[in-house]
Amino acid sequence: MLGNSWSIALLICSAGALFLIVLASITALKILVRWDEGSDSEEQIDLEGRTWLAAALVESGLTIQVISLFLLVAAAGDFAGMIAGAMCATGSFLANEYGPISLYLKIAGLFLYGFWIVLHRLDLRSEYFPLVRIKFIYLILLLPFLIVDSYYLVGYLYNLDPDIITSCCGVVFADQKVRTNFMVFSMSSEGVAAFFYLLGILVLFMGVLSLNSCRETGQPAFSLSFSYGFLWFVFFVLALIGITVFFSSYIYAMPHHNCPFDILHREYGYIGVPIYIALFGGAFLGMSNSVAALFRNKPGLSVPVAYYQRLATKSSILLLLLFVSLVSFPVLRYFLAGGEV
Amino acid sequence: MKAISKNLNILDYAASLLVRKKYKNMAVLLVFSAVIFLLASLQLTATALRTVADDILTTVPDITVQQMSAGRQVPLEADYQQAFSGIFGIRELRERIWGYYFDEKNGANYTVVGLAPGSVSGGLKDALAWGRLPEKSGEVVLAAPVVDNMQLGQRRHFSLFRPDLSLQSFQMVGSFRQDTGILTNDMMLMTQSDAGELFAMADGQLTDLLVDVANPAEIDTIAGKIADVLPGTRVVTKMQIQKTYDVVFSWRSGFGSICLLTSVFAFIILAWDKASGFSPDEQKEMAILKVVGWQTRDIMLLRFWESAVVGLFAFLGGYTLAWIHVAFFDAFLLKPVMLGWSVLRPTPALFPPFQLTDFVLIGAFSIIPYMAATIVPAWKSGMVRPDSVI
Amino acid sequence: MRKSAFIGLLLASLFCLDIFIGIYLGERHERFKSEQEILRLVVKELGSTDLVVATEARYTRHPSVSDGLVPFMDHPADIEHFPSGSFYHPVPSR
Repeated sequence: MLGNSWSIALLICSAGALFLIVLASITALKILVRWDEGSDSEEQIDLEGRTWLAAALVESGLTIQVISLFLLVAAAGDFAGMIAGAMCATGSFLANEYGPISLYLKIAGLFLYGFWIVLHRLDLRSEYFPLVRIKFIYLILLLPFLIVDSYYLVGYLYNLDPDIITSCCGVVFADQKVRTNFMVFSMSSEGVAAFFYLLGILVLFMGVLSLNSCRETGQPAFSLSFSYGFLWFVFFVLALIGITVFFSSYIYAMPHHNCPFDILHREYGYIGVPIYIALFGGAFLGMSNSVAALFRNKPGLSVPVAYYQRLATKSSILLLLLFVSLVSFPVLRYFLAGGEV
Repeated sequence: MKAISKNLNILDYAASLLVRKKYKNMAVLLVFSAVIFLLASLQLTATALRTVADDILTTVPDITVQQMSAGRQVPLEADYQQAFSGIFGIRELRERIWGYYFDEKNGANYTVVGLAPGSVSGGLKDALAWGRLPEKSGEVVLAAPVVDNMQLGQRRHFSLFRPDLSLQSFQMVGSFRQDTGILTNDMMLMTQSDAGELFAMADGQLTDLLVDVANPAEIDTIAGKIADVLPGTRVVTKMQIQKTYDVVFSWRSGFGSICLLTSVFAFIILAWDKASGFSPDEQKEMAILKVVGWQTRDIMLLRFWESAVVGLFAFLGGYTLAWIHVAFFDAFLLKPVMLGWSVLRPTPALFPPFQLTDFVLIGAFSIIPYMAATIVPAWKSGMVRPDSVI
Repeated sequence: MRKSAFIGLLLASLFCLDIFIGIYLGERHERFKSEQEILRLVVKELGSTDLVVATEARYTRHPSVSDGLVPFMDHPADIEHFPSGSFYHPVPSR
């Protein structure tokens, strides 16, 4: 279904992102080869100017990536109307093996581009350009990632066939066996929820701890911020599973309706939009904490890194609280008021 | 806070740059909005039609069975009863005769539907503006556009040609309500036997067979069984009919999008060209800005805001116009394509409700390529070397 | 007034216009929904399967139950020539 308007829009996004990142990589290559910090030749000044170009290109790439993730989810929801057996986006994604991978890659891309921008912003704070090599090698590595991403996207859209019968979320997520296959994860819904809250508290605890150590020593210990970021990663994955198998059915007020995508729809007041923004934002800020921590010993970076970590930790804690209360509210409402009020 | 006020100041400056070249920028804005307008009109029309189909076609027959021969539909012989006796779960079978009547005089196509005696509930009467349903031979209910098209005026009697050019006369006994037009605008409703006679179908021949299934979960199974016992038939299920409109208005409207994309790309080349071809004056201005302390980043921001303003106005303006065009003017620019040479020109009510997805889709079509095209020129203008220009 | 405020105002008013149109059309859609009983009845009783949009060709008048579009469908050298055919996607054959 490459000719579908959704597919065309997604392909345009992919082509746009590829175009930008290819340009950025060419720039990066030039910079990596010719960069000479001590020099004040015309060429060096020109290269320093080119870092701006690369940054602007990656930032636009990130914007496109955010839009294209949204588009992919919306398109899958729309494809459900054309694919036999699919009633929501889950069915569309499962229609061929490229679908889920394409979605995961898009989500991963969001984080990868974001980390690059964090690095770039940190680099700007120091007068020594300490991260130039690292960030441009990183940038060149983004290109193969994006190519793989586009490959899976095209594969998904090309192989999408309206006549193939797929199953819908109700079937997929209710069947324990299928669930195990899809998620590579086997646990009861309640177990997931319990684990979710446990981990949430742990993340919160870790965040407060690293804020405290910020206050005392001016900079959190490396192990602290690293484990904070790692915990966020685990929490992020668990939260996505938790929304799917546990929280969503309380939002829908239907015990057997488990779907991570339908909460984005109008019927449920677009409640999924703030939920996912809080989750993705919190996870990004939390994880970028560990990324930033890696570079705190570079010349001129210890102050900006500490500043960024404080800011990121604070905001990620706020977003965590927002996210948890948003998803817990329907559950509480159910247990306190006994149903939808 | 500081970042916001800086951006606002730069935006002010960008606005005055835009105003200084107002004719050139207006031209770009106009072309861009026109492209977006066409894209959005196409998308919104498709959305509107799909919405109506989704709303109305919920009560379509569970299974429709048609006879195929040599790749085309032919009348179905009515000796299917025995074949069906082995299939359980069928609640009701309805035989149907319908087809098209081509009006030689003005080239219009009418849809003739036969009504089996006693097959309808009393409720169908409510669909009539006046009169009653056809009960005996020679009576017919017409849609108002059909009456107009046949130039019947106040006359109630008219004749239609059978295939052998003999005349069959009819009396109009009722007319469909205007607001059922989306289903009835081209319809002639008559008794089943009259319809069979008009099409010169032999006794016992049918156009298709409607099957009502007791348990909706069994529709696919029963459809499969019917296809087994009646080889050479086309079996269409409710689900397939309901999905038809999602399919019908997707690829070809995608085809339309591809044609329009060409114009999007043409426009983007224009945008690239416009953004990168600075006049010496402009170069001098950027150089002066750099001399007074602007960074490369600031000039890129200035350029970004310049194109963002044009892009946003073109997008919102084009989208709004498209919406008005589709909803309040019945998409009159697309109608020649949508209705084609249909002589009968029903006016489908189009009201595309707001869908975030449409909005984002059109945005992705227009703004993303535009953004991608203006970054490099923006950077180039930021890299102006003051000493080489001034 | 500063120019950026003017631009913002203009964009906001365009957006407001969009919101108004959206609300109005949403309302019209709701009203249409409440009037649909009779349409659903017509569909049910007459076994209608399609909307009356284009009446020029049978594969666009009744896309869901007609023969799919094939080249030379009615006579040799009959190539798809109806304008509405470029708006409607041929339904996958059944």
